[in-house]
Amino acid sequence: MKRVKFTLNGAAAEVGVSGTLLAALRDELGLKGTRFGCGSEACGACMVVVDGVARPSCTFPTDDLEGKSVDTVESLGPPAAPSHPLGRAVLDEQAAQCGYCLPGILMSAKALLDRDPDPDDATVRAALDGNLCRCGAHLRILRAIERAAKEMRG
Amino acid sequence: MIGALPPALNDAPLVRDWLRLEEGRATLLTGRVELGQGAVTAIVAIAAAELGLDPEAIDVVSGDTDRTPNEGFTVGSMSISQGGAAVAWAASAARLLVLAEAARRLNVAAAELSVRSGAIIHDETTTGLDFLEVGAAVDLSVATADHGDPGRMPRAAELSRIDLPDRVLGAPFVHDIGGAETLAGRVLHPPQRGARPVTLDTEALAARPGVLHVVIDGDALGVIAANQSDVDAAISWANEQAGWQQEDAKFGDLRDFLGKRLETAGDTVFEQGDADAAKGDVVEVRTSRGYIAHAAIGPAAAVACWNDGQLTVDSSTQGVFPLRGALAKAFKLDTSAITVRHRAGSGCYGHNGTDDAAADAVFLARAVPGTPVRVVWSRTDEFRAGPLGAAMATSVRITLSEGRMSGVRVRVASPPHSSRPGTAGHPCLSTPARFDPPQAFPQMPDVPPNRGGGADRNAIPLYAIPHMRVEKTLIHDLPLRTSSLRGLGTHVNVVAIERGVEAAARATGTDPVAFRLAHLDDPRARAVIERVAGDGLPAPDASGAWGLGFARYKNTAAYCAVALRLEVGERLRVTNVRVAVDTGAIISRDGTLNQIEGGLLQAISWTLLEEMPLHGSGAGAIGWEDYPILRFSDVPDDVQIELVDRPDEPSLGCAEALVGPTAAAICIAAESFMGASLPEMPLTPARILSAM
Repeated sequence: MKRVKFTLNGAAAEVGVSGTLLAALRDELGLKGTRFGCGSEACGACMVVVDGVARPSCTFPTDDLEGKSVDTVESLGPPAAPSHPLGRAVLDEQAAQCGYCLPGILMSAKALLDRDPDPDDATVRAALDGNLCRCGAHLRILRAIERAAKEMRG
Repeated sequence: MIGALPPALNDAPLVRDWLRLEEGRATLLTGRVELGQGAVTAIVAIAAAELGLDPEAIDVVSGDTDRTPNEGFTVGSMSISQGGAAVAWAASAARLLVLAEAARRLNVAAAELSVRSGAIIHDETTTGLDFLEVGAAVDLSVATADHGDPGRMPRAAELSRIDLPDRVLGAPFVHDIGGAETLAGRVLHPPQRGARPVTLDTEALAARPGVLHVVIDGDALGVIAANQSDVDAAISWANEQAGWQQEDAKFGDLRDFLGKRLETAGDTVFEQGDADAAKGDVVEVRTSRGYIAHAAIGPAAAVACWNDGQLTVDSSTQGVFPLRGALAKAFKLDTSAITVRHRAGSGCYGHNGTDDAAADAVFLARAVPGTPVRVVWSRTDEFRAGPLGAAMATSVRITLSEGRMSGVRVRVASPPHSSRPGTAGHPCLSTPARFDPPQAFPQMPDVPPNRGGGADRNAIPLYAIPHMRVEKTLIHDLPLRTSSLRGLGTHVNVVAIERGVEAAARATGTDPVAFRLAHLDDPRARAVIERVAGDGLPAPDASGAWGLGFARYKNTAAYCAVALRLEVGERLRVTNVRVAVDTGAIISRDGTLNQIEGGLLQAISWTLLEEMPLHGSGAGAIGWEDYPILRFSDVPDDVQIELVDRPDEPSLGCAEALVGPTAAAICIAAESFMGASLPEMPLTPARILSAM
């Protein structure tokens, strides 16, 4: 079986074809932080960063992964001591209720902050408009992203 | 403050039912479950404060039918007032018992001892005795009621959510349980209740790629495969091939249907004076909404495994014991043969599809004894197969006399707001309802008044009006399954009452804020209104207007007032919000604020955006494009929340308190801006246009 080689959270990885990146992450690679939400790119729960751009993994074909670099929410952890300012900020601000949407939101935010370290409020909101949150943690999430951005700017 | 003995102590009377002090650890056992509201963290904080331990020294087990007390459903914002109080009782009993033993060893009076971070203290100095070590030697198989003395609910230090790091950065969800041995399963859900798959070739289905088993019982059919992708593909194929046969229930236009039920008197649920005898000018308003979806971001999921006649179920249910009872009925088992364990789920705002998904997993796992089966619903299942928040309509007719409200008649027409597992002794689970023979749903009762009412929740105005009658017409001939969703009838009822009061104020030429205050005797009610609108509300501007909404949730729980500015343009958007909430004594300030923010934003979403489209006589949404909810760009620019702390009052939940006042403030702001009556929610741009 053909294997696809790519970079996952900074390390070499490979998966068998074919399927979605979401299925590969969860079932084949055992990285279950990325969530299934709708399967049709409509909610952002499965967002990962592919070559610097936030992409829904639920429709991203593993066939297209060759040579690409993928970051998932696991790159912000571990849960007990997050390595990334976004991981720390979301806990410092208690920016969640059920938490299900957060990995996708954090990956959208990471893609944004990596290309625009000092976005204004409207830019952050626009970058997150493809991510749904049902619990209504939006205000806290916006505060957490602002906090992380500040820390990342140093 | 902790009042009477919490009822949960009747079923689980012993200290050790709630707390174990073994091997240097304290283990807290609670029947309340974490639904993302921070309840379990708050309960741990209560126990820690009462025991004198650091929260990190406490392990917690929540919602496990083999281990924890049966506290029924975690609902109605009663986790702290009931579940927290029971733990406070048990923890205080444990502290006093352990200190009595320490006093005996030290030969001092127990009253002179205290506990600080696990160390037993006498005269401000450590005694060398460790609370948990002494505790291991103390018999906790004694009645909590005989030994507990919690007094006031302890003011716990702010404690970060203990479950949050894993939820945000890890994989603790029921969707995530199980390794390679766990099979994936899904049931083929009908597009509407009662629809039957008549042309499905089940042999061809069994031959689809990756399908290991096709499981059939009556009209219920499901598929098991090694992985989720294969199951999803097989179920999609089956749905295309099913040739669904159904009879559409004919109810015509939903709003007309609901409106007609308001034209005749319903059952009187509350009466005071003689509402018909009140004479004077009359103002009347009507408010309705469509069906509201729970719409969690993660669809319902569960894992089940049958092993030598023993069934284990992992579920994000609100009630592990009621679900166990319902599964026992549906699958003809003794409850002792079933273990239900609570696991983290996606957002829970009431009775969603979670229990149904658990039944799906049990149904499928029965075909593969010894192997766990995980069910994860599709997005379409999440919209269409689970229970919905009821569509309903409420009318409010107010009689005015000498500038005051002298009489009011409230009429509510609604399907029932409960169909939880176990209702009326029936399983009330969607897939077993299609077994042969079917485990059919009974005609659902509504939630009774002593539990806050269902359709009539908050239908009794809190305003001082001498003559009142509240009537309810329960609708049983709408085909969609409805159950409890955040606040139940409070959403529509508070909007109707507040719109009525606003109209009454305008009819008498009185400022609406002053008019409300003049009709409220309860100082706590007045206080929240004064905090958000004491100086009056800003006048309408070129692009928007302010509105005010007030209610005391269930008329017995948290007081809440919301003043907000609604911008009316191509889309409607709430820009500025002021909230005041009196939720009694505050256990966790940040947890309370989190619930208030969530309640506010969800209520804005319901009121401006949400209505389940209907397809035939079923829910019609397939994906998010059919059921939009609030997005980040819709979130208000400025939100000011004021908590009125009442340290000497009982703690009241606050997750539902925002629903009615927020929706009312939005509707009143829109009407104020438009100068027109807007009786239907959601307030879409199309409805605004047609009012012009």
